[in-house]
Amino acid sequence: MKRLVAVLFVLLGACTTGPQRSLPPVVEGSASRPPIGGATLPGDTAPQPVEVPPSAPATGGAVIALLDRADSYRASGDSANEAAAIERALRIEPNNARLWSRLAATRLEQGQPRQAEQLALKSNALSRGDRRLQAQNWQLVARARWALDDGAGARAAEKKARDLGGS
Amino acid sequence: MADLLRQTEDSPQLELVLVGQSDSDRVAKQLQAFVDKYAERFAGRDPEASPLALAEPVERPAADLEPHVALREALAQVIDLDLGDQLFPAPGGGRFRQGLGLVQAAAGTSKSFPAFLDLVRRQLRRDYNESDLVSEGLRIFTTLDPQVQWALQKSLDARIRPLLDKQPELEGAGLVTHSANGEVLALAGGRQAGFAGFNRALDAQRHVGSLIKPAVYLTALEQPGRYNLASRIDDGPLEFEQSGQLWKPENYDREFHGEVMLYQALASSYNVATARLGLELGVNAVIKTLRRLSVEEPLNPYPSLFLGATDLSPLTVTELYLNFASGGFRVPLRSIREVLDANGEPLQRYELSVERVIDPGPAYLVHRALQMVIEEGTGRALNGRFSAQLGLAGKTGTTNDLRDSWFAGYDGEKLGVIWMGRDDNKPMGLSGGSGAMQVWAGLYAAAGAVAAQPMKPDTVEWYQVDKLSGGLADSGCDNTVQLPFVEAGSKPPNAPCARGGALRWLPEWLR
Repeated sequence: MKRLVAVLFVLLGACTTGPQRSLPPVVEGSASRPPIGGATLPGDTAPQPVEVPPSAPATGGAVIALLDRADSYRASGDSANEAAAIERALRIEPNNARLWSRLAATRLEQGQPRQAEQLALKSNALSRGDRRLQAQNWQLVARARWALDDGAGARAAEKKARDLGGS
Repeated sequence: MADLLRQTEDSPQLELVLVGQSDSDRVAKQLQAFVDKYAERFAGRDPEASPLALAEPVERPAADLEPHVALREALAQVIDLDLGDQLFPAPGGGRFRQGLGLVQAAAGTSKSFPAFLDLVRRQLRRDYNESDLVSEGLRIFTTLDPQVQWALQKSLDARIRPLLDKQPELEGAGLVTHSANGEVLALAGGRQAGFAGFNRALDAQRHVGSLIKPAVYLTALEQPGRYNLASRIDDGPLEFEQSGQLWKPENYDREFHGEVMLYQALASSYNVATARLGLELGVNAVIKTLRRLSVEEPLNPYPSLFLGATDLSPLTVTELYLNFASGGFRVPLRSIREVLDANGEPLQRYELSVERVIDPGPAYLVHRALQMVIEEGTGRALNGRFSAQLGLAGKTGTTNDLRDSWFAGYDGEKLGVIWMGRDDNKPMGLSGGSGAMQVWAGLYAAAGAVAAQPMKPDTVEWYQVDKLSGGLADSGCDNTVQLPFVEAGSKPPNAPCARGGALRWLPEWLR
């Protein structure tokens, strides 16, 4: 409903402000690609959001098994092997934002804040509108930046986490 | 001393060994036993089925699938200098082996893939003493994917062999890497797979031609206030004085195309428009971009750099394109995952690391431009072979007088860089599209292509653009293209066909 209102607003605005304002983005939400083949919009209709590709595929059995293994390494305090298990999972599902986030958290525990920060950013780049995960990643970034004595950067990251609804 | 090949109960996993000759028999025996044991478990499967399909870890219960994955990984890791021939002396022995195509891979790892091994050795030598490598019996886990390696080698051979009558000196090389983690899945150092000679993938320094252009366009798109994918660039005649000499770039088709959109200039690889854009940006700005994208080789400091008149190796081109394929993250290349000592203790891990080097907005725009290369540009021949839904992206490269044929392309999972040419740098008659791109197509057809689904950053929105005028379009325009724009950046004016089209956006019931 919200989107319909927004579209209407833009459309009505078009009546008074000319064509430029009447050109809302063709794609909304987290869609990643336009229709194939330079498709044109159907005539005389409001712009259609382009088909949204499926979000991250459901996690498969092999990945779940590897995460179980990572958990048991974690329980025994073996963060090096924990990270290795997550890396293996990432080989199977390289676009799984949660795996990247988990690896970021592990790197932080391994005492590698710089990598933790970058891995959390990578996770966000794949997060497909998952605000909770994004907030969690910004919190990781904040912790990493504190560890790097980057107070200003850390506070900026904390603010982003808060704005996304994280604590 | 621990077993050279080790299995654990819950996950059958072989570990690779870099053994001396004396150990080969024992290793061969153990590996044979391992394969036999698992051959039974797969006996019911279709022997013709693609090995990749069998090993695909999707939607199968873990228990069912783990041996495939483990075996595939394990065999990929068998690296031994003299092991190959002894492992599976009778070709076509078992049904399982034929079906999986793994035997060849295992047996060939040392004999047939010396080029890949070369990369592994270099990485090891960088980190270890030569004496440690010989005496300590290190276990080395590599990143090689035998299926991809064979697909690469076969495709290279299929393109080159028919041409050898006329071009006996024709050579080729290629690298395939995992875009997300930088692992090298396959490497071909030359046309002959088992020939351990000059490793062109690592050591050939060749003009890269148009393969360099995305760096020019990225430099522009990183100034979103000034440039966008629809920016007009002039592809009319250009003369430029460069250190006392007159530089007059020409297009591949020897024609000029007038005003074109920025994305079109890249997709169709127009030299003159690219040179003009480069001159606006400056050579130093483009060099700075290339340095940031991990190109360390000396670069030609003159404007001809914009058209790729500078030497790079396929390895460096791979590093450069990984930045695009991974959505703007630098990913160091790795051929080794882990090194264990003879007791199975990890000596060294080669950890996955990433670093954002291109902002999300420009990274997304460059990716779209590289997709347009396939959709409507110099790579459009690929559309006959691959579904448009895959969203493949890439760039062709051709150098003067057809001396080098390049293609760098990626799907949602891996990046493939192919080079073809002659070692003596003489013309060999192939363009990027007619040579390297076809090798790439054969490779991806065999290895399987995965749809690319990059996530649109919040700072970017899609608009329709009129192809004729380059202006923003609406339903009044017939011939349009969808392009992403950095929302805070510049946008083209409205297209003439969009005038008065506003009301037509209204749904029927509102009019």
